[in-house]
Amino acid sequence: MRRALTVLAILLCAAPRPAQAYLHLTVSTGSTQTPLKWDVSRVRWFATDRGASGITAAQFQTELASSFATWETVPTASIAFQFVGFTSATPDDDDGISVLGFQSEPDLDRVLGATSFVVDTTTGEIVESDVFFNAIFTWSTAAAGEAGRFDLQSVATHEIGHFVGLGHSALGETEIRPEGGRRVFATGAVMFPISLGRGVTKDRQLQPDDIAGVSALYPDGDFSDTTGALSGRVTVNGTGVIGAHVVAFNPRTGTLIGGFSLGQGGTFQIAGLSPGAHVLRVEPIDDADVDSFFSPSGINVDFQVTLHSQLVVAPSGGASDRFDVAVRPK
Amino acid sequence: MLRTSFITFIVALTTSSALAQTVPPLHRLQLAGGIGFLSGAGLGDADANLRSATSNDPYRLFATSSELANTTALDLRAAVDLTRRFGLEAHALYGHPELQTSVTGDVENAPSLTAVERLDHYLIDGGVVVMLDELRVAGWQPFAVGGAGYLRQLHEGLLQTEEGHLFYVGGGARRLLTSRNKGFLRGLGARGDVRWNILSGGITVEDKTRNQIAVSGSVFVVF
Repeated sequence: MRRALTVLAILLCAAPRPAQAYLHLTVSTGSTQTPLKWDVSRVRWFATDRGASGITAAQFQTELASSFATWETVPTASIAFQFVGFTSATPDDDDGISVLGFQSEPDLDRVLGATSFVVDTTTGEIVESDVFFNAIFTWSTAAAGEAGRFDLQSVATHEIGHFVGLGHSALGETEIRPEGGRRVFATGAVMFPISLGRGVTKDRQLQPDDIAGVSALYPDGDFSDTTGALSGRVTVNGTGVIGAHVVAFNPRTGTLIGGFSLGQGGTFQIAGLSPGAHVLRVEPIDDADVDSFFSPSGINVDFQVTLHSQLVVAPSGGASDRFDVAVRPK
Repeated sequence: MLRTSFITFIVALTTSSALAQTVPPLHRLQLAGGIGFLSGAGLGDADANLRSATSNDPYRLFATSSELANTTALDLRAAVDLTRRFGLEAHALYGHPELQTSVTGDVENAPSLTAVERLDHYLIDGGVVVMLDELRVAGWQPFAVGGAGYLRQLHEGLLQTEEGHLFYVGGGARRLLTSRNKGFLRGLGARGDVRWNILSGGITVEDKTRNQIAVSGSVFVVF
C-alpha cells in the first residue's frame, strides 16, 4: 500500500466567512478525484491534556465529545467515534493517532482552528487526522455562549466536519471589511469557512447542507434510496463555468443544499436532496477566498448571480437528467 | 371509416328518439368523455433562509411562492343511476399544468423570475350523484355530486411521483339528446359539471389543503 503523508490544513477563520454548499475533500489519483474518508467502524481520537484560556482539559474533552456526538447522531450517516484518552502528544505530529488540542499559533491571527490529515493517497482513506484550536483566542464553553469569546463547541463541530472528510461550504453571505477580513451576515452551514463570531453558538447544530454532506460520504440505511440528486452544467456563453456555487432550494422542506461545478466542462452533482422540485441559484464564489474551498486554478467568478428558469426535480433514489444552467457574464 | 360509423350511430339513435326521454334509464352504464378546465391552486410560500450572525431572525436569501397553474383537462366518467334520485359515478381527469414558483427578493439582486416545470396531474375519484329532477329545465336535469378520490402528480420527466387525495362537491346538469329502448347503445347525451376539489398531499409547499375548481363539458353514451 502506498501511503503518503498528506497534510491538508483546513482552516476556520475568525474573520467573517462566505457561504456555499457541501464539498468533500478529495485526493487526486490520476485523472479521478477520490474522496477522503475513514474506513473504520469507529474512529478513535485523543484529546491533549492541556487546556487553554481558562478551559480545563476535561472541559475541552467534554465539548469535543458533544461535537463528535453531533456528527455521530446524524440519522442518515454511519460514522462513529471513540474517545481513547488524554495525551501529551500535540495535534501536529504524524504519530499515527488523531489528536485534538489547543495550540498557540500567533502567526495565524485569523485562524481559530485547523485540521490536518494523513491519508492513503491511493484509496483516499484517512489514516490520521489532527485538529488544533488556536490558543491565542479566548474561548467559551458556556451553554449560551459568552460575549467576546468564541464558542468552543461550535468551532469543534466545524473542525470535526473536516475531520470526517468535509470541505468548506459556501452557503453564506459576507462583505469585505475596510480594515481587512470579512463581515459575516449569515450562513447556511456549519462548514462555512468563516465563524459567525464571538458569543454565537449556532454552529453547534448541523444544517441540511452539513447533513447531506456527511450522509453522502457515509450513507446509512436507506439514505441513498430516499434522497435524490441533481446533475447539471453551468455555462456562460456556451462554455462551462468551473467553480460556480450551485444552491438547490426545496420550497417544501425549506432546505438549502449546495455544490460546485467542478466537473469537466462545468458539471455538478448535488446529492442528498429531498425528492421533489428545487429552485436553483448559481453564484460566483465571492463570499470568501476561493482557496478556502479548493485550488483556485481555473475558477471562474466573473459572472452574475442567476436563478434558473426551470424547476428541477431530484428523484427519489436517483439523479435528474442532466440540464444546463446558463449564467451571464458580469 | 370511423367517421361513417359514428354518423351511423348518431342516425341510429336519432331515428329511435321518438320517445324523447331526456334522462338516462336506470341501471344503465353511462360513459362520458369531455374536456374541461382545471383552475390553479396556490401551493404556498417559502423563504430560502440562512442563519443570521447577529439575530435569531432568519436571513432571507430569496423568497418563493408556488402555485399550480390553470390548465385544460381530459375528463372521463362512468355513472349508473340506481334510482331516480341517486346514482354512483367514477371519474378520471388528466391535466398537464405548470408548477410555477416565483422567486423574488434575491439578496444579491438576481433578477426575479418564475421557475416552472410541467406536471402530469391525475385525479381518480368516485362519489354519489343526487338527481334534482324537480329542478329540470328544458329537459336538462340538474344534479349534485360529492365524493373522494386519489391524486397522482408526476414531475416533469416522470422521475418523481407525488400522491395525495381529494374530496369534492359539485353539481351540473345533463340531458339525453337521443335514446332508444333496445340495442347495445341506448342513448347519447351531454352533461356539464362544476366541482370544488379539496386537495391534500401531492405537490405542495405548505401542508395544507388546497382548493381547485374543475369545470367540464362531456358527451355521454348509455349502454
